[in-house]
Amino acid sequence: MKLFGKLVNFEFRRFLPIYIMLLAAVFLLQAAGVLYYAFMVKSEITESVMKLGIPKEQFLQDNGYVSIGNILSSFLFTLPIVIAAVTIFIYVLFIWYRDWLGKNTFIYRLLMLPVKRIQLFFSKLAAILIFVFGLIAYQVAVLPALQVILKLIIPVDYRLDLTIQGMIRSFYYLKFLLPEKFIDFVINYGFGTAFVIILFTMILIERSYRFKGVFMAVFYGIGALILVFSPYILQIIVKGYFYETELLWMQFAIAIILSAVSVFFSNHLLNRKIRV
Amino acid sequence: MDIRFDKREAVYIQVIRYFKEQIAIGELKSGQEIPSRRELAQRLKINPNTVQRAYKEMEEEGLIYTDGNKPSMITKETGRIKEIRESLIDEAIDQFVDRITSLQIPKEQVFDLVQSKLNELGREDEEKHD
Amino acid sequence: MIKLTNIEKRYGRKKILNGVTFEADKGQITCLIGINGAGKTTILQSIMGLTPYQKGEITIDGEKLSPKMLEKITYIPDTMTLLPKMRIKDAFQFMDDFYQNWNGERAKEILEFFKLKEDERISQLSKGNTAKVNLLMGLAMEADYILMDEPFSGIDIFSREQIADVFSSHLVEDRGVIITTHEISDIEHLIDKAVLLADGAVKKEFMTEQVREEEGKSVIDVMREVYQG
Repeated sequence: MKLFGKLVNFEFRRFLPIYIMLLAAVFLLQAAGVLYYAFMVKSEITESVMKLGIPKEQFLQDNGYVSIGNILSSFLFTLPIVIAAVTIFIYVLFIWYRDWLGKNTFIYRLLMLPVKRIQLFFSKLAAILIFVFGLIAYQVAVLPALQVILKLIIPVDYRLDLTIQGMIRSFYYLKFLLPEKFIDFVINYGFGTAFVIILFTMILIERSYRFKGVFMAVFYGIGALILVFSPYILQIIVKGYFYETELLWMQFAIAIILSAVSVFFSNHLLNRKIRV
Repeated sequence: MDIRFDKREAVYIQVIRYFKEQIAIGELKSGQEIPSRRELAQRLKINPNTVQRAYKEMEEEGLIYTDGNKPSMITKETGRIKEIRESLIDEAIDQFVDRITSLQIPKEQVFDLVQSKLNELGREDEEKHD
Repeated sequence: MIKLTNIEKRYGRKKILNGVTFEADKGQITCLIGINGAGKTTILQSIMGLTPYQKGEITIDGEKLSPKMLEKITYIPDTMTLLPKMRIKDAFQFMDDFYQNWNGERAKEILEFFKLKEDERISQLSKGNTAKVNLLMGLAMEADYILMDEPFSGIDIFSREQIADVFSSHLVEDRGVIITTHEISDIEHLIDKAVLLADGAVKKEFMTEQVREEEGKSVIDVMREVYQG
């Protein structure tokens, strides 16, 4: 167990430089978005209220209050989230392949560590989950800081400040990533984790059987996909007998079973089939 | 310490012969400490197990002895050392006689040849010393 | 004792190992000899569980390979397996983190013996030094068995001498060593046992001192008989 912690720490540190760059990019792009919005609105206020003499109340009626909530769905806010998501997705693949690729093949070292090899699997999975949750926590923490920028530029009379909950609720991606109900949280991340586990297994199939493995892995992936969506196929056959939530729970159960099967299979591959 | 090893002869036998020669010419003196198994292996660049075997045989032959955990030493029995010397001389003479008889050279000629060869070597030695 | 019994390995339709059987004892240096492609590396990788085999059994002191066994047996591949951006001391830390049997003091001692610095980056090492660092990572483990893949290949003569010195030193004393090579002359007098391989099978297994003593043959003589006779 102590070694598992060290493995996770090791995997975490290997991605840390890129991860820090990602976090910096999120802050810088979103801050740029806030600044752009703030200065644009400020110049509008100056134009309308100061120069043209339109009353403040009239302006607010026409334009609404200035709030960070207005830009949370803008390009500069969603772009870094998409960049981060894509980067982490690519890293889900690269977290394995980097150990085989290049002149220095680190996979020798990893496979020769005195730990059960499935722990390598779980340590990489844990690292990915830490990156995802870390990113979300960071985004939540950054929002009030961004609001401070707005506060510095826009006078209080024109502003509608949001609480953190308020900001999360008006941020489409965060609403999905941090659902209000705990059960939704479990379901979202359950599916996400299952997805990563199945992808890991596909990678290990390819790494074990190489060229032949590419086809086996694709087959495995498609099979898993069909199984997860099989409740909907069933729904068509029984002509809409199930409620939507029932279908979701069926999918969830299938995802959990698939994850368990994938972990067992990966364990087998790592112990018996993997090659350096 | 430098041995040119014959690749076709057991290394441990060559090590023993080397020790015998060194003892015979007095390079290794009675009661003198010899290197540890590891030291010798490292110096000769050979397997420590081989040195171990050579030492074991030498111990059995009474060439060296070991007192508890102390380093092994060359035997103090002067009789044994004399024996070693004699057996080496014997061996060399045997080999020489073997070769020379197969060439069918008359005895007198052999003596003459040996005499002049030894004189020649003696002169070379003297020149070197100058 | 490391014991291989009838190891068979196929890759696709190609047979890589075709019933390999031999033993390597603790306290001895066993040398796997064969040209490239004879299956030497595959044998070492099979022992370490780094590549699958289809038939046969490998045991280490009677047990199959398991995580705890990896404290007892260590493998020195002929490629660098540390991360390029690591410094040597980072690699030491990595080993220290994960292995109970890692001997940091011995690692430093060998580092000094090889005249390397712990601040050097893995990516900056010359070929000879890469081989030395590889060797070091294995030797600094308090392992009963060490497997070395071609420790002499493609490196300069002085590095070779240094590495050869290791074999007669306390660093391998009382351990079981398996070493592969296609060039025996550097280490002919250092090994206890030779295992001659060809086409994925053991052609002959013999104790080197024994053939010298009983048959008056050098290792190369035996190789000539096996490979050309």
